Amino acid sequence: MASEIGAAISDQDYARVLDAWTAPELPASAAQGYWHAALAKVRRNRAAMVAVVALFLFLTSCVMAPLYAHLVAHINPFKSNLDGTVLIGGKQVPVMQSASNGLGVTPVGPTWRFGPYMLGADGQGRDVAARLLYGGRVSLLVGAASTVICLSFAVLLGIAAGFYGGIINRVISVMLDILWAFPIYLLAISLSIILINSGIRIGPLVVHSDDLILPIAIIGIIYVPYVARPIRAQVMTLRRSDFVMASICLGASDLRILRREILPNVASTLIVFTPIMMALNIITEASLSFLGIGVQPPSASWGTIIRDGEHLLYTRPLVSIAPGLAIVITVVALNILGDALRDALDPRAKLTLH
Amino acid sequence: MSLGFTIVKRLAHMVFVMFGISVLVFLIFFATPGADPAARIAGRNASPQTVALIRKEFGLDKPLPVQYLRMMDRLVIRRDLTSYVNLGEKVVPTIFRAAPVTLSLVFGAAVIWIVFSILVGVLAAAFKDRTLDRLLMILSLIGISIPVFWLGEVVNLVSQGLLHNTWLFSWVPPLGYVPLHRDPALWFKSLVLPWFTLALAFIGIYGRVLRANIVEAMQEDYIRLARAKGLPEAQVLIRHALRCSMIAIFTLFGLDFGALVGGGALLTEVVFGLPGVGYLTYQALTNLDLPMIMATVTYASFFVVSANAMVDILYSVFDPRVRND
Repeated sequence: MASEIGAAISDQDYARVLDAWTAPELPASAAQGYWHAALAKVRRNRAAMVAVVALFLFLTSCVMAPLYAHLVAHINPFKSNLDGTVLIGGKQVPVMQSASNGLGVTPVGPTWRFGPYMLGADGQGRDVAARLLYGGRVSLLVGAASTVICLSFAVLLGIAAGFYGGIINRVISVMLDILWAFPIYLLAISLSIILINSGIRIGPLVVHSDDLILPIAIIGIIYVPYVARPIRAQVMTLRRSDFVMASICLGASDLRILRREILPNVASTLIVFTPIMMALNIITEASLSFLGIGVQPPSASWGTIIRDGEHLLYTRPLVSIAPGLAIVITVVALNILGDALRDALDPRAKLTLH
Repeated sequence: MSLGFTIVKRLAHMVFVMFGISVLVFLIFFATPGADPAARIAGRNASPQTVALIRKEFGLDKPLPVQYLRMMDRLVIRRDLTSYVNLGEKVVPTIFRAAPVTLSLVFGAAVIWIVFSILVGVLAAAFKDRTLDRLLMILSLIGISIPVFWLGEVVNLVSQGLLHNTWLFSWVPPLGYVPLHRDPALWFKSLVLPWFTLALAFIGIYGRVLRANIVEAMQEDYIRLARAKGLPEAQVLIRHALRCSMIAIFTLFGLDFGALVGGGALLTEVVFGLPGVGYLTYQALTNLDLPMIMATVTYASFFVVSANAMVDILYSVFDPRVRND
C-alpha cells in the first residue's frame, strides 16, 4: 500500500477488478463498485464525517435522556416543580424566585454544573437540560419518521407515474400539482387545526389528538411533491433509456425492469434526498410546534420548548436559545451530509433545499 | 406552439389547480372524519343555537357538492363569510386590510435577498475552491439551517433586550407595524430587522444556486469567446456568466415570492408582531376561528397559483425554448 505502485492501485481496487472478472454477473458487481466508490468518497469528506459524528452524539445523548433525568437531574422533567428548591453553592434556592420588580416569578437560571438545573428551569420549574434531551428524541423521531413516509409515498407515486405513464401519470401529476401549489404552512395549519383539535376516527381506528403520529403524518405528506416530481422525471428518462429498451427487447417483465434497472437508479436520488428532507422536516416540526399545532403536550420537542420559553425570552433566554441551537446544529449536520452524498452519488444533480 | 396557445393552456391549468385546491380545502374543513364541522366552525363554547344556525347556513344537511358550492359562494362570490369568534367580523375584507403589511415585509426582504445573494454567488464563484468560497458556502448552509422563528427570537433578544440601550440598537422601535403613509421613517425602522431575518435563508439558498449556475456557465463556449475577445475577467463574470445564470434565479424568485405572500411569512410576522395575513391566520388558529382560516388558506393559495402561472407565462415570453413542452 505504501509503495508507489500501491498508491496507484490500492488493494481494494485490485480486489474489485478481480471480483469483476470472476463474478458470475457483471452488472451486479459493477453496481457494487459504484456504491463502494461513493461510500469511499463520502468517507474522505472531512466535513461529512464531522457531521456524522455530531449526529451520532446527538442521537445517543437523546436516547439516554431517561438516564440523565434519573442520575444527573434527579427530577421528572415532565412534572411542574413550582415550590421545589435546588442546591446552588451550598444554599437551598427556590426553583421559582420572585422577580426583582416584585411581579411574578422567574425560574432559576443555569447552574452550569453537571447536576440538577444545569441549564436552569422553564416557566413550570422543569429542568431545561433534561427536557432538551427528551425533546431531541421527539424531534429526531418525528423528523426521521416523516422522512420515511414522505420518501415512500414519493417513490410509489413517482415510479407509478413515470413508469406507467398514460392516465396514471395524468392523475398523479394533477394531485402533485395541487399539493405543490398549496402553501406548505397553510396546508399544515389546516390539517393540524382539524386533526389536533379533535383527533380522528376512521372505523375502528381511533387516533387521539395528542398522538405523535399526527404531526408525523402531516409533515410526511406536505413535502411529497418535492420528492415525487424529480423522481417521476428521472423514471421517465430511465424508461426511455437504451438499457431499459434492451431489457424490454430481452423480454424482461415490468417487475424485473423495475427491480433491476429502475430502482437501483432511483435509490441514489433517494439517498441524497434522505438527509435533506430530514433537515427540512425537523425545521417544519419545530415551526409547527412553535405555532402550537405540532407536537402536543405531554410530549415535548425542541419546537415546543422554544415556545415554552417565549415569555421568558428576556429573563431566561437560554430556555428558547438552547433548543434552537440544537436544531441548527442538527440541521447543518444533515445538510452537510446531504451535500456530501450528492457530490459522491451524482455530481451533476442540482438538488437544493427547494 | 404559439405563444398565445401556451398562455391559454397555462391559464386553463391555473384555473384547474385553483379548483383542486378549493376542493381540498373543502374536504379538510367539512369532510374530515371526527368532529361535526358545524361545531368546529362555531369554535369553543358555542351555544347549540349557533351550531344549528351554522348547519343551516352552510347547508351541512345537504349533499357534499352543494356544501362545496355554498362555501365557495360565501368565500369568493358574495364574500360575506363571517367569523363566529369575533362575532360579525367579515373575514374577507379583514384579509385584504392585512395584505399591505405582508406585502411590505416580503417586498423589503426580497430586495435584500436578491442583492445579497448576487453578492454571495458572484464572490463565491469568482473565488471558487478558495477560502472565501468555502466560507461563504458554509455560511449559506448555516443560514438555510436556522429556523426563521428562532432567528427572529434571537434578533428580538439582542435588539429589544440585551443591546437595546447601546448605540447599536437604540433606534429599533418596539415590535409592531407602522403604516407607510403614516410615518415612512418609522415604517422603515420597524421593518429592517424583520426584512433581514426573513431574507437570511433565501440569501443562503439563492447564493448557493447562483454559484453553481455561474460555475457551470463558466464552462460554456460563449465565455471562452468573451475571454478570447480579451474582456477583463470581472466583465466576463458579471456581464456574461451572471447574466445567463440569473434566469434560473428569477424563476425561483417568482415561486418563493408567491409562497411568502401566500403564508410563508407567517412565522416572521408572528415573531415580530406584524399584523399581516400570516399573523391573522395565527390568531385564527389560537382562537379556533375556522372561517378565517378557510378564507386565508383559500385566498393565499389562489395568490400562489396565479403567481406561479405568471412566472411560467413570463418565462415562455422571454425564453421561446420552453414553449415546446
